[in-house]
Amino acid sequence: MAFPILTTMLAIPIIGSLAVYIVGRLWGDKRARKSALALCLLTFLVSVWALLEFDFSIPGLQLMEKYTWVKSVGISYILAVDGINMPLVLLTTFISLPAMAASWTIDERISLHYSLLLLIEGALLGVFIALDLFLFFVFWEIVLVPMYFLIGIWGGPRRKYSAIKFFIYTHLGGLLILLAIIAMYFKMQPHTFSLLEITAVAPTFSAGFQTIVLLALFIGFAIKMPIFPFHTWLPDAHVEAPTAGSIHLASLLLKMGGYALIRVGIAILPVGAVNLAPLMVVLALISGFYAAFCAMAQRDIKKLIAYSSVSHMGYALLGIAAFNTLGIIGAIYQMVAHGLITGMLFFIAGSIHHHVGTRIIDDIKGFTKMMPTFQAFIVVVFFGAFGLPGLAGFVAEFFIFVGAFQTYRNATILIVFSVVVTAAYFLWTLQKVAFDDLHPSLAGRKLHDIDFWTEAVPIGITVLLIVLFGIYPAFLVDMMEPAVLQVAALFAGS
Amino acid sequence: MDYSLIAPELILALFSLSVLAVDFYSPEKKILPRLSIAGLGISLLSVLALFGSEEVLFGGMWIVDDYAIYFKLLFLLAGILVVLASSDYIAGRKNEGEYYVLLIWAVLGAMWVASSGDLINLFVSFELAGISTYALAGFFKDEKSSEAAMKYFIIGTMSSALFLFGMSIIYGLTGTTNLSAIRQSLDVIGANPLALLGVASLIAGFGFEMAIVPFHMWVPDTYQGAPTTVTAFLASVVEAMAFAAVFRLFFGSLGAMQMSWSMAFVVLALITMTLGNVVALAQANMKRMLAYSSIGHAGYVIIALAVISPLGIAGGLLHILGSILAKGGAFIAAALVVRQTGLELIKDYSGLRKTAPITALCMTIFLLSLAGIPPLIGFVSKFVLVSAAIEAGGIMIWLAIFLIVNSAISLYFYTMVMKQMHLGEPKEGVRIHESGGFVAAMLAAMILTIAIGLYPEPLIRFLLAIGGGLLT
Repeated sequence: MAFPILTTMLAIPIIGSLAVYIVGRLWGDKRARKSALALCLLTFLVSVWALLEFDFSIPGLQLMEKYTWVKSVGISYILAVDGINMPLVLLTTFISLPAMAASWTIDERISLHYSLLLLIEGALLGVFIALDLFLFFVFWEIVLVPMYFLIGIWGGPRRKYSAIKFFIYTHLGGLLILLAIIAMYFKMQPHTFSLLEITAVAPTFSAGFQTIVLLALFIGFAIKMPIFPFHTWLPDAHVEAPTAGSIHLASLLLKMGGYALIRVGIAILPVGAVNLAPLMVVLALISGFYAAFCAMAQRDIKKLIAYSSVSHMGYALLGIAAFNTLGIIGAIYQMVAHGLITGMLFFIAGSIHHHVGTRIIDDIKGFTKMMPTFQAFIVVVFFGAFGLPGLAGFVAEFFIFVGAFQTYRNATILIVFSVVVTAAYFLWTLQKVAFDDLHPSLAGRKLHDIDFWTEAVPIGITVLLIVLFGIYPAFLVDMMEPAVLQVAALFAGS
Repeated sequence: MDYSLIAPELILALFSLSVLAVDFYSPEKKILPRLSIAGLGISLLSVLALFGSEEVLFGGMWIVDDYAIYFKLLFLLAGILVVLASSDYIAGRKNEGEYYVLLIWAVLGAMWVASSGDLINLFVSFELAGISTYALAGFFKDEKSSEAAMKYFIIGTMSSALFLFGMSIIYGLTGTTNLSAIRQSLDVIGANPLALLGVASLIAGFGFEMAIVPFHMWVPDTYQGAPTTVTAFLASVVEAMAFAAVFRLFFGSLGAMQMSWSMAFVVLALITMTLGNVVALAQANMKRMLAYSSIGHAGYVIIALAVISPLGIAGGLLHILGSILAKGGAFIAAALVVRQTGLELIKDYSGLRKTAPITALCMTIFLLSLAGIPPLIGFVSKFVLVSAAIEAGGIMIWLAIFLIVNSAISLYFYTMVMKQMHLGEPKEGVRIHESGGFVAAMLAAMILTIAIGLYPEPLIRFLLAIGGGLLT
């Protein structure tokens, strides 16, 4: 039997989480931190190994590991990758590294912090590669607990409120998803949770059943993505979370929703998807615009970035709702690109807070004059955030708009204008932060430029990737295309 | 006659008398809990030896089957956990010996309930366990404890009266008190108003013991006032005992009228789940909050009575086990805190991660299991219950929806405790010594909570078989 790469990739962060905590208790926090970083790096290397084993031309699932778990109820342990989740797996294992670097300045309960970061990474990987609905749901819920503690212990002044809001809101969404999963379980003859079998059979379920089940799933996923009007937990959670938490939240947890909508949503309930399409498109539109305008009104840079996340995920939703290859590829590309870019935006916000002491945009005007390396990175990342061609964000949005235009002409025309709003608030902020006159309160201070190893290197490597995926999209697109073609084929008739 | 079939109970009876004797003669009290645990342990082993039996003794009065064995194991396990915790909790108190004797007799009564094949047997065993726990609830003889015991006693007696009333009606109708004979008789007689009256009376009588709404009034006061290890016992063994009786009685004997009582339990389940969880939101006292959440969990279990299917019964039985471990464990953790600091409010748990790390960890796992977070046993049992409800379809889907909404609600007050423990700062001068008995009990419960949650397969299969057996 082939070496279980995926289980290994999953086991390292999960078991490593416990190991790091023990190392921290026994041998001190510094060692715990280093071992956590090492384990994170190891997980990334294993995922690269999986990538090397991945065949770009096969549309189906690869590297599958399948065992029965609870036979009497029909639960199995199935892990596999294909073009839809492979990019997200790589995103997860990669972005966890800068996230860990962002936490290097934490000084209390360090070993617990890193232990929780590894646990979140492991659970996230589980969500992306699990192909049994029960297993998928278990990992989905497991993500919530360490995130709650991460926000609640190391967060900002309103952390306790934000942590609970996040926990309960997303848990409720999870329970809706559970209802839908169980409904599908009982509809299957024989009863099973295996997505392999459900994907084959579920498109034949009645239209009414599909619509209701997909609605429940959609609400659950929409809470996670998040989509208006279920997005209200996000600004609080993102702002109050510690930097590493924000990075994980924005780059990865939000993508759980988008990925799940494809894998556990439209790919198995196409008729329901077509019925719900108007709802999805309208919400995507509203999200895109409403969140963009909210972002424009923000004074705190972290809250601005939080709202921009909502807006960008609205685009992703539109791409998914396009039900064609280009749209869905665009959506997944958006998830990867946005994951990288917004991850860096939050990293930058954290660094600003750390170096300057405040996140209020008006109070940090022109501070980058004293931090040239930082300024360079900020400029590139901000440009990427509003979709400047040449950077990854543009490729994603381009695919989404072209794909969506084929299915929803008017909606796409409308949403393209929200890109203008996005550009507006990002450029406005950039202008204030990088090119404006120095704020009087900063006049006397001397700000050190960013630290090389814990800040410049992570941001630098990620920025390289953002540029790379902006000028060479073929890598990711080729990865995704076969699998996405299969999903789009379900909608060929409609 | 094969005495090994009643060996577990005989062993317990023997050990209870030994504990009484040793207490009388020996000034050294530390041996009493050890003796009790030995007795419970040996009884546990003898129950395990009975696995797979399908016997009926004493002319149908005593049943030994997988159902009875499962519950006996549960009661003994819970008993051991509570005795372990009690060894530290009531060390040095007056009448220490009687505490252990009463505890053993209560477990004995519960085990007897699980094996009852006859209404009279059921009543006597219920009373045995009941009277022992009334006395245990009032053990501390202070104001709170006495009030708790009085309330429990009066309500308990009233419920016994209702039970007797219902019993007598059924007897009048069918001419027999034997459970399987009743079933055959009712299958022939069918549903009639008199039988419905009897069933209603039985639901009311047992409703008090199961702590379902609107028979739940005694629960918060008794759980709060009684010595906390006794509360742990009440929340685990006494609740489970009530369900053991009800499942056997309703599924086994009263199956002919299931159309009526199934609907009754649907309504009761909906109200109980909701009231329990919603009122728990407002509680500031830890024991009271756990008491109301207990009521909520009882509501989840009676979903099994509404949805009459093997999957539902399996879910209910699994949830009872999960509750014993998590609720019992949570009360044991609370007992530790009360013993060491005298404080009972949730905000007194502030910073517990620093002052009592093992307790904080175990409590966190227990609360997460009660909330239904994977991969713990609480999640598995809720999952099975929801599945059973959806499978039954029709109006039962509301049970699933209510369970889910209430789980989300319950997450709030459980998280409040976790917030205090992990995010708060301890009060000045608070010292908590985590003594061996408590730690052993909590760790055992925690390990089981996680282990069964990760690998529930054999247990689920076992319970599905029990469920199928009950319904045929």
